[in-house]
Amino acid sequence: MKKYLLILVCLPAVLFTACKKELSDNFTTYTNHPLNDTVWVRNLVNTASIHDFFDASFPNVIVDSFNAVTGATLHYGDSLEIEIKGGTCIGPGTLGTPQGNVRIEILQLKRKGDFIKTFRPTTTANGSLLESGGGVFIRMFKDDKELTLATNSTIKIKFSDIDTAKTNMQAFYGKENFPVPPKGIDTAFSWVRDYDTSYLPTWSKPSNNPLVPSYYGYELNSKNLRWITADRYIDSTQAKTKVTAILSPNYTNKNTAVFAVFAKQKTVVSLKGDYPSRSFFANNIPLKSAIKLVSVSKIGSDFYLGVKDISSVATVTSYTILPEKKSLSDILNFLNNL
Amino acid sequence: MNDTQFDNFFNDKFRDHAVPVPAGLWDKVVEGQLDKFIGSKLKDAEAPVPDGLWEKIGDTQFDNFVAGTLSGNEAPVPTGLWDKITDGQFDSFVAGKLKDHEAPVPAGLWEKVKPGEDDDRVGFFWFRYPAAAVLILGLLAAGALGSYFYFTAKEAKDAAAVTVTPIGNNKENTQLTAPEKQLQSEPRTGSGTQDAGNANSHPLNTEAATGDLKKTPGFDKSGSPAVNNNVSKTQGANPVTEEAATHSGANEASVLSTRRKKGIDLSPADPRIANDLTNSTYNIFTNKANTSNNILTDGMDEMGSYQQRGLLNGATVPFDLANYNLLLSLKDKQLSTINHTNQFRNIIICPADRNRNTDWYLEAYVSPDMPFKSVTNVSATPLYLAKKDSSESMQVSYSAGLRLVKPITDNILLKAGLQYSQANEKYVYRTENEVKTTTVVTVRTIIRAPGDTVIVQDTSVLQTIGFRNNTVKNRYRSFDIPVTIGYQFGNDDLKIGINAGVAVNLSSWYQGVILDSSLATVTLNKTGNSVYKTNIGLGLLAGVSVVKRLSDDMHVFFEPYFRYNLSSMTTSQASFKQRLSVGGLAIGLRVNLNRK
Repeated sequence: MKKYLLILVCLPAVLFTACKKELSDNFTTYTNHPLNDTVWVRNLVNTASIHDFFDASFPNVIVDSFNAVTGATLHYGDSLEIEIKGGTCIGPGTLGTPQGNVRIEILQLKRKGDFIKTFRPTTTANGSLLESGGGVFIRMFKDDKELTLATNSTIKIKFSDIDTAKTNMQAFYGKENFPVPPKGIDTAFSWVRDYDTSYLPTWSKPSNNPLVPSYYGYELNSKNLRWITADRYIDSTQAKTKVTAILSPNYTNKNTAVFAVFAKQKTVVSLKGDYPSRSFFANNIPLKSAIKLVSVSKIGSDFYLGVKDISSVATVTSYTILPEKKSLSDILNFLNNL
Repeated sequence: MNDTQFDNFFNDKFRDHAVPVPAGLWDKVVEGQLDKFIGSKLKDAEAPVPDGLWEKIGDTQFDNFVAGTLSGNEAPVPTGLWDKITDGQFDSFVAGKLKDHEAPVPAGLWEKVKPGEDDDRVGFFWFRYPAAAVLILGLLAAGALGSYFYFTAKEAKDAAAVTVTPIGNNKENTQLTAPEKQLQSEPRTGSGTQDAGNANSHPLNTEAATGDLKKTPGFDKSGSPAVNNNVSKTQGANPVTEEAATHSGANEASVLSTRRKKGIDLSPADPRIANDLTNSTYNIFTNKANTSNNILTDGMDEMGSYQQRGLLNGATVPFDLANYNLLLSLKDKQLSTINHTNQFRNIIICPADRNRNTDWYLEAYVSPDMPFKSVTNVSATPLYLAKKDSSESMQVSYSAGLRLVKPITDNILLKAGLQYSQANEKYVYRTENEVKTTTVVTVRTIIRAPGDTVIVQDTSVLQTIGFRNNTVKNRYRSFDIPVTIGYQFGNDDLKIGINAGVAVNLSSWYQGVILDSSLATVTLNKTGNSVYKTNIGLGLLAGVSVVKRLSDDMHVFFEPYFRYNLSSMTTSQASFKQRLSVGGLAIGLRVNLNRK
């Protein structure tokens, strides 16, 4: 009898416990979705999504015009002044000096975030780090043809620095890939110091009114158009180290760019993607520097921002960055406040 | 021999014949020598029946003769006898003697009775040929019904000729010896004329007989006997039946005691013995009554002395020994008592609920079920129904319950209980752009400087995106009261039955997900939704059960069944109508609640 009662009790219990499996799922990954693409590339292709990020983050430029024959001095508040003499600009080929008004596009590089948004790290081709005092991007068009400066011609640029102007800044020009990529980042970009290595003169416009800011800046006579900055090499007496950033496998060199942003100076270093180690690295980072590792990514239609604060760079092997999904505006706001 | 020669022979020869009792004969009777003699002599005796005799008896000539002869006879009742009966002395005596009497069943008696049941292979016949069984049962029922009406009518006709002659002495029972009392109390399960259940009803029969006697309209308050033509009310007044009723087994003492003492089956091994002996008593008795009421009355005196010596009324033979030789001459005439005893109402009053089964069973069962769903459109779009159909699929479900089983008869069962049912439905839907997070450990080889290579292990999170096929188990649950009636047949070891009935829903509820009108999957709570009812109403049940005995009190049963719900399980607001039907196999145990 007990045996039968035991069976009678146990059988429903077995049936009831068998019903615990309520929910199951069968997850199938999309085969071509960017988030599932964890493959690194040795050479970044033009279709990489990281290009899309910088296309989206590139700041708006100031568009203006002037008479190429008579020249003009363009003022943009107290922070920027451009003096262009007549006949300074010439067209490509045999176009010569354009007649009439030409279109001028101006972008001022004031903050560290501007160097990131434009993907213009303050480094030279050999990896030397530069401290920037700010810069400007100037481009002129005539009939949709980009103009250049005539030989031995200069334009005078007076721009402000958000920090106190340094006395030992030099003129640097941006060296771009040729032809210049129409979109995205120029991985071959670097800064090249002007042959004239003299220090740039500074200017200031102090203000005793607390409601009116004081302005400090540099004045230079640029021999080139496009990317022009007032930079200096950082102190080379400090020991330097290699900083490596590690991210999740989702973030590859196709969709992510990592920068080392110095806290106390306008120095932005791009960490290059290292294919063998699937990591990003930068050399010549001074020890004990306070930096931020900032990663920006675009995966699919989503943007990601990762920040790693390093109060003092040490000889650690690597730093791990944990990007988070952000909106583009949030990322730009963050960059603007760097 | 013509139709009346035999009767005339009796009438003429024994009417006034008196035979003196030889000296010492009564002593031999008292010592039981007569019983032993009769028992030993007639036990295996066979008397050839003269040619044509059976035909005469068979065509009821003999019965008609007896009935005609006894019709209108009246036997005077001894003075004071009715007073003794009327004032309850007889009842009190019987009640006092038998009220708390318990008779132990002789060892091995039940074992000898039960094997007969176990060896009954009729059940296998039912099992093998159920159709034939049903046909036979129908024929038997019709036969029994016809027999009942036939014999009822015949008894009513024949009983009119019975003369009421109350005899007997209540005090005679005090003369019974202990073994005889035990025999009185023994269940007469082996009796050839009654079943075991009726054996215990002898005291009741006695009371009934006595009661009937008192209530007989033919008797006035003074107790004077009267001829009663009502068979049903005069049976207690029949001398023979009264003896059998009041003395229970005593009237069988001379006949059955031998069989019982031998410990053999109580049913007569040789019916002729019992019939002959009983018949002898009846024949002589009735002949006496037929020839002369005085003889019968006078015989009471002899019988009284005989009984006072400790013998039994039923064993006495109040006849004149002078006619013994004539009786012996009848030895060669073996008479059938079938037709003769049909003239008298059987003293065995069968209970009206003879076939009623007093058992109660409790069944506990579980059942794997397979629900079937039918959906009809009301206002849903074809796309909705198509997606619903592709998303939902019924799964193996189950039911469990308890129910009481009341056998109305051995074959008809009434079942009612409480049942919990759960119909499972597999609901599969796909969700897009699902991000799955996986923790991974990456191992990287980082060259810090030429010759400075470091392996870095990093635990990070990998996100993958894709679609997810979600599988949800929807549950349709309900509590029901199943009420079924079934018919089962077979033997004690294995029975097969068919059941049918209704399931009254107490409550039902739904838990799971469902497509909304925008084809999105939404979750429904079991408490309150506008799609499914909380009571699905009535369902029809039908099934076949196979019951196997595990022990005397426990059976295991397997019952394939099907349930068809009569109404839709969705509300009027739903865009579709949905109905579930369930087929299952109930497996359970049946416990006899009357077990000892």
